[in-house]
Amino acid sequence: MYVRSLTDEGDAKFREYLKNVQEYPRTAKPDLNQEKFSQDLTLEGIDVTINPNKQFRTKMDMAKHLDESFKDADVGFNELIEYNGLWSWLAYVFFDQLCPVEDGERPLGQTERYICEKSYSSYSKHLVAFPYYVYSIHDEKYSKPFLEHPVDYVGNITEQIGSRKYIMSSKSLVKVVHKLYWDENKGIKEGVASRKGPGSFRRFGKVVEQLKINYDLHGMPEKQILNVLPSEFDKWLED
Amino acid sequence: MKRTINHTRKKRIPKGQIDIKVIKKRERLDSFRADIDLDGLGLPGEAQVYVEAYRRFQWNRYDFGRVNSLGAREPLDMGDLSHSETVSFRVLVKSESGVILALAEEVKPSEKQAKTPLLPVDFDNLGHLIWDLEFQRSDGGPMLVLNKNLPKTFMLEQARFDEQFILTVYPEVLRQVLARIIYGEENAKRIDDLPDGWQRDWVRMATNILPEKEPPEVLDPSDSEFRRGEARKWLNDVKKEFAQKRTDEWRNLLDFVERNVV
Repeated sequence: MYVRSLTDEGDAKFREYLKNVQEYPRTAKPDLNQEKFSQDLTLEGIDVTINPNKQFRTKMDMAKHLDESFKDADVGFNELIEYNGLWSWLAYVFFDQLCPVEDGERPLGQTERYICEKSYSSYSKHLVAFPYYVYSIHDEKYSKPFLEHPVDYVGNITEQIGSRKYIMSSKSLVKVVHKLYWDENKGIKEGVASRKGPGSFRRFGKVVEQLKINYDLHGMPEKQILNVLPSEFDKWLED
Repeated sequence: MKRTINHTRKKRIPKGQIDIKVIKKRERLDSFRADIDLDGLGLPGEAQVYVEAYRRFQWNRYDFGRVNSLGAREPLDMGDLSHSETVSFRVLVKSESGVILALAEEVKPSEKQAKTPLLPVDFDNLGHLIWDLEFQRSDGGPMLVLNKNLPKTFMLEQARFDEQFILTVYPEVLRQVLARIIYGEENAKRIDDLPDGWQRDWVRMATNILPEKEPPEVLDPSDSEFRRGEARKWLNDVKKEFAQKRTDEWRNLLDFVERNVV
């Protein structure tokens, strides 16, 4: 199936569906593939095909599938990343995976998880756009702390670190996140998501915001960044 | 008169000393030229200079050599940014250890050299909201976002001239921006440490609106010297005074109400 981009009318219809589905989880999905609700992107040279029935185990699987599809069509990251309508349409296509019915209920998250908005903080919450963004910029290895999760899950790491554009646009800073918080065997290290604990995700975000005033963190390699981080983060390096 | 202490010793590169021209080819951003003058800033000759071009999620960095041998060291093509309509630039001077020695942010290409307005306006899909306030500029500054589903010209007219909009939206915008300066986690801890840029500009405006009341000295809510009640009162007083000073708009609004509401 060729990818499409939601029009303003499609965007409104999808929002209306999200509102209804919260109350009535079995509400039928509207057909947003009609011309008035979504735009055919092949006319813009984006002739990408995706498999709408593909099931994803993790966000990483989804990001990989999209990346392969885009690469097959020779469409680059920079042509797609700002196409909010495309990301909303993809969330519509994969909606049953992004918001599955569980015990007769559909635990809907914030609208920003499904409708792609312009601001970065909203974008980082989107369940399709953000995984692809992370995977495209950072290698598979370093994307793991953000993407080795079920597709419908927004983890603490995404809220505390993924929502910070300064960090996510730097390969070195994301490598540091991986080094501090990811264990190849166990996944996210235990205790790093603590709200108040020293060296937590939350603290990392705050400390980077302070350090960037004085240090060019974007221009520093991973080791140099680790050297300027306060000692509260050392304990995660020892594990 | 308050003293301003720059604890970071970071220097501001005047935008007048930077001239960046973007070259377009086939309607796309192709490359750029940058003339940078760092004379008179007292920067060490061996400090490294970089120019960064950025837009929303994309960020390219270009090596401009050292202070004593300035010049592009690589082709200045826009790469991934060529699909953008506009880009902003940042000029950065840093030491070997990564400490920022001097900085110029939000540098626009020379045909758009105008100073960044205090409150730039943008349009976005806001659902049923008419307006929103975002802090997504590269320098973290505020932006008034209007709903793109309403006619653009009408919304711009409202934002500029409509009494009801002016008296409803802007006092709240002012309060939210000042609150961000006080409570924002990435901000300076004390009013004297505010960096040059939007934060200082907004506090300056607030002080002009309410000259008889000083803004809070301490900006960090976790600091034992932070006076929460005092900060809240100052925010509300500035907001009220801003509206209070809009006498013409208030009179016009009353006229309008008298004429149209039974």
